[in-house]
Amino acid sequence: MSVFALAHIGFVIGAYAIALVAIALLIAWIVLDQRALRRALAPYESRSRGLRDLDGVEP
Amino acid sequence: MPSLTSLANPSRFMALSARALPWIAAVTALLFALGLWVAFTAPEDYQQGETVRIMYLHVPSAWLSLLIYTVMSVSAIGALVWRHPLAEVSMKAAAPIGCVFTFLCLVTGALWGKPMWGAWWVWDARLTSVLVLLLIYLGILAIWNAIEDQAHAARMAALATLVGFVNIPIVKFSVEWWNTLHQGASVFTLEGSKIAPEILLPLLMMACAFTCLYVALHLAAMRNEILRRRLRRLAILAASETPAPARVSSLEGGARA
Repeated sequence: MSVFALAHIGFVIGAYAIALVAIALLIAWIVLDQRALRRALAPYESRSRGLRDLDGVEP
Repeated sequence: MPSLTSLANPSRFMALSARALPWIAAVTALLFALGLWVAFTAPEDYQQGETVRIMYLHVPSAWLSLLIYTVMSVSAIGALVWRHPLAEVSMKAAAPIGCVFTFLCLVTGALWGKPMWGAWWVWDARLTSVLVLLLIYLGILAIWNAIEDQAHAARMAALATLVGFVNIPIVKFSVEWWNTLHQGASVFTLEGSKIAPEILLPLLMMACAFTCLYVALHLAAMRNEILRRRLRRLAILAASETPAPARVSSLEGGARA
């Protein structure tokens, strides 16, 4: 590796590190959002399933 | 064979996307592993040295920023003309993803520009039009968050998206229309690619990996938006059912008192 290449390696590492963090945050945001929504939906869905069971309708 | 309309039904979309997502995620991981390996074993550029490896992030991010905006614009037409709920969902889900990739394009571009041009930023046509694209993305996100009525927000966001589409050809052709420090098109040109195959291969592999990642993220974000709408509808239904007896009992209590 040349001296020129070594002088600029920090820019390469910085670019990959920022990309990794940005993409990881985006994935984490979507996954956590989905978990929160599933948790919030759970009581409604169990209730509607219960009502369907009472009506004799297949869930 | 199912029609496009039946495939675009939210319930069917949830079922299909649940089956497709693990496969797309696996392909994305495989493409990233291969792409990064090829990117870091490819020879360095004879002029740019190691900094050419920033291109494997910068160019796919730039392509995605334009692709995602185009997907948003097609969805905006679907939302405005056919009022299709899945088009609204697609438009809303794509905006933050496009915003992140545009931000990545600008940041990796600055990190590439400093060692190559001697400047983090120059106000040339390509850089400025991509910055405008980021601001348009942020404006559309602001519309979605500022307007409470989702149907109204969807109409406003769709209109803003379609107006903002004017910027897409400006970004693409800015390097031809004006004298820019940013280089012209070099991958897809009428004369063929101007890039050496040793550098073109990792670039295309990383572009495929980024595109698969976007597809997976967009599907997942669309699923979230459908769940959010279902939650809102169920909460409204529950609210309209439960307070009624409470109101009656309080009125009864008041009458007795």
